[in-house]
Amino acid sequence: MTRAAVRPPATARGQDRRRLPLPVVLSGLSVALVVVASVAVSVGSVWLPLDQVWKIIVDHVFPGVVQRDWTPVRAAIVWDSRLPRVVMAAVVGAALALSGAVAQAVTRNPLADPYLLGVSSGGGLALVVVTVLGIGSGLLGYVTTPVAAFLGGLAALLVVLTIGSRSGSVTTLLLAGIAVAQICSALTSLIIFLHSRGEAAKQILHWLAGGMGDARWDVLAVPSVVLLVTGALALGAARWLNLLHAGDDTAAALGISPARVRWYGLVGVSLVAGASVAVAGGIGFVGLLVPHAAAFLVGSDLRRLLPTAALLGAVFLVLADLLGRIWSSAGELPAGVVTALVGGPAFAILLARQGRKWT
Amino acid sequence: MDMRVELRSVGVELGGCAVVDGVDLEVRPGEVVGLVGPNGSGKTTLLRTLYRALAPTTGTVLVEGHPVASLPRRRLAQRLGATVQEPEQRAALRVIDVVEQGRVCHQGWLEPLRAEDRVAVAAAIAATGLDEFRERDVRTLSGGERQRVAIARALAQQPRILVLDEPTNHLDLRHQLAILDLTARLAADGLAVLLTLHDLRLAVRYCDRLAVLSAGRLVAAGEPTEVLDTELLAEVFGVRAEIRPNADGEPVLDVLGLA
Repeated sequence: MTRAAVRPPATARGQDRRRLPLPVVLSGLSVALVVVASVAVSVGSVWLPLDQVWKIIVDHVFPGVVQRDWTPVRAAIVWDSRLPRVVMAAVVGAALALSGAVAQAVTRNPLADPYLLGVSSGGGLALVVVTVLGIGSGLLGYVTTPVAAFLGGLAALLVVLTIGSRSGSVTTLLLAGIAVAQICSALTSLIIFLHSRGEAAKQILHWLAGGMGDARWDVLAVPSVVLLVTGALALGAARWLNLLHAGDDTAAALGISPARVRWYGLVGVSLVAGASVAVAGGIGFVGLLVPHAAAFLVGSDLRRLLPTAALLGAVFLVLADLLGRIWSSAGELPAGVVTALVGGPAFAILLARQGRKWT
Repeated sequence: MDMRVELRSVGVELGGCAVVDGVDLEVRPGEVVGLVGPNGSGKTTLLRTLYRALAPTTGTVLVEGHPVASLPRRRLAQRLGATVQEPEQRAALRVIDVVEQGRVCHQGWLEPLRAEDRVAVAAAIAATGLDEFRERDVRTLSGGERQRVAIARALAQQPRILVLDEPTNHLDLRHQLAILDLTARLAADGLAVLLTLHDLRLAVRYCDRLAVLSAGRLVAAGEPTEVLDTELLAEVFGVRAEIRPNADGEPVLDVLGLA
């Protein structure tokens, strides 16, 4: 008989990577957002110095505090054109990242995302219907467009989940998302082809491109309020959403109704995603990728992940929009195209590296 | 004597098939009751009705005298802690984060972790020997370590009833004994413990009473030495085995082979 010396088990093996404290991450991202946003406002067909950008903003918020040494045209560029656009990119980016993070938690599916789950295309179809019916513009449009996008997105999401959750596999869910998205966009094309003329057609085509070109202060009100309210509620419910990570049976044993928490989560996802789809069209990959990047920074605990993902999403989309604007001198590239150009390959890498675990 | 858990002719149908049929069972404070039976006999299904992951088709489940169906889930979780057979941890969470989830049923909305919560979490971590794993990412743990994390989370609920589905799954022999020693200690402190076990030798050694399920029906219940006679072992489990006293006079199950 042979016998080797027995070593004590190595308990330090695979020690967890040290995570940065949450306040450090959040303040870092906030600084990054301010810097990126300032640059985005200053860059464009007319390049404005950063200090002038800030002076114009300060002058609008606290009139009389700074000496006005700029032309009214420059003030209009900053306040009426670029700043709303940058704020809209930040709001939409935060909304998409937040809804992606919640969607991934409640479906317990790392590939869940408002775009892949059909929320965006369902919302889009509903928007087109509203536009063709002639109730999507004017004062009424402020209410009808986000509500339509929310209801359309929620309906598409429920169809996808009904088909996709039957087998419980990630593949089925994704394929169901693709099927529903295809049906919605086919119907969208059909409606455009048959019905829309003139102003409505212009409005729809503009929306379909997906981007921040439409930004005005008044358009921003609804999505901002929806983002803040739903974000605060999601953060308050993060402790319960966290329990879904452990599986439905364990969540039940820990004192929550998994079905109820999931339902609230999905309504929240549709609300936030719908509000952003209503103003910026379908922008892919932000909701999918940003939560993964955020989880890399702070882990999967949603109390940490949600604010991190929201800030990171805002930074990401402001950058994407900026890139789209300075890409070529000929014309601007919609932010959705930029996120797809960056996100597509990143998604492919993610799949190649971890895909086996998810089927 | 007051019952912690009382099952009254509980039946569960899944997909038109009776998985559990007319089971009566009681668990008292201070005892460890082992639910045993071959694969597919309905053990897990029965346990799921206790923590309301599943509603029984017929019969009633009472926890400390209250019907489970009418008890708010939070109140139920304050009384009864449970672990599932294959604890799942795919999220990037630390051990301490997972164990703190056991306190959610005691916390109000937006209420931060109080001192008493921290004490309960620390005690649960110490009881399961996880002190050195506190900061570890649960995804890097072995199956046995995850099982202990799940038990620690259930203990952090500070329940009066503990329901464990195959707690010795994936554990090496030392940790199997450690977990069962822990349940015996917890029972000695007044907890009611209901667990499923596949290893009948451990069941004989550690359970005060055994309930034997076969094809969804309760076929025997009582003290291990009374319940596990040669005939039942052959009929229900398909093995040739008998209980004999060992050198210290304690009953030990001797497995001889297939029946």
